[in-house]
Amino acid sequence: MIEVKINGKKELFEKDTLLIDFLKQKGINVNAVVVEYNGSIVPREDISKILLRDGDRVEVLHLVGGG
Amino acid sequence: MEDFLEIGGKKIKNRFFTGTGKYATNEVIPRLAKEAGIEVITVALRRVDLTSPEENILNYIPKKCIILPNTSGARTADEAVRIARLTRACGCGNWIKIEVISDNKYLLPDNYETLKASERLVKEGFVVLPYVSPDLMVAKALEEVGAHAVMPLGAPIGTNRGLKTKELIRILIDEIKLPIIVDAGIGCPSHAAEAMEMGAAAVLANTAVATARDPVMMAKAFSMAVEAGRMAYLAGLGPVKLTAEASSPLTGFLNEESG
Repeated sequence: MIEVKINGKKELFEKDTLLIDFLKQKGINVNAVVVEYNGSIVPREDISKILLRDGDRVEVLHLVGGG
Repeated sequence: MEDFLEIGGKKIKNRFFTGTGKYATNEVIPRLAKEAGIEVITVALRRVDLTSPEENILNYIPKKCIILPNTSGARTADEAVRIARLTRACGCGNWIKIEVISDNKYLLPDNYETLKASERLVKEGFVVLPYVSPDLMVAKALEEVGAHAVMPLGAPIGTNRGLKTKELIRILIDEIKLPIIVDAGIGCPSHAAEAMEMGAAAVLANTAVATARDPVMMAKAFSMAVEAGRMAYLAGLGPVKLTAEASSPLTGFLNEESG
């Protein structure tokens, strides 16, 4: 198992899990979010290429109501 | 006469900007945007709730609107720059309202960090609208670094208290060539009209609309007040005097006898 922090929360994964599979399982529309992977913004077309590794930090963000 | 506000190459007719925060349901947003003819509207960036993903706020904003994401949540220039880059990656343009706040009670902006973030984001090609306390020296520095507007607060965020900083905003309008957009604290249409009458370029209000009993009607009322205030500014206000000056002729009274 590997441990990854996603949106500040620890998540455990099998080795060689794709981030996109996790997002899909959570019901997240990848076209409506922006992903930051270990501090770098991931171009939307590259999200499907991210293979989670132990110690990764991932932020999954989106626009919400605000003033 | 055509009267547009030009920012970052965009021509804006409706000088009332509003936000999308504090609504219980998003359905009201497209209605008020349409009814009030909103052209610039703010959004924020947050973590997706992985346990219950919400709907995309952009689905509720008319396509012709300019999206103005804010950097709320940023406490330093670095954090504001990070949020700005992330909002741009969301694909809704390159406008950014820089908001750097570390004061939790009054939510007053950190002008120094805001200036640092503004300088960096201008260099990165953003259309930069910094939210600041109305301070002339900071506004001048923002002009220097190439910000596209200055957004001084009328009163603390969400207070609906009106133009408490009026005299300081007046100085910014007088001394700064950039559009001065009064943001925060504007509680009712008359506050917005007051800001526009003295030459503000635009007004942004979110809470006053979102917390009204009828937000659609209130957004419309704000748009009308902003338009009226703008028109009054362009028309040129008459002088203010301490003693009376009759509006009717002072001759030909019915009670006059001439011999």
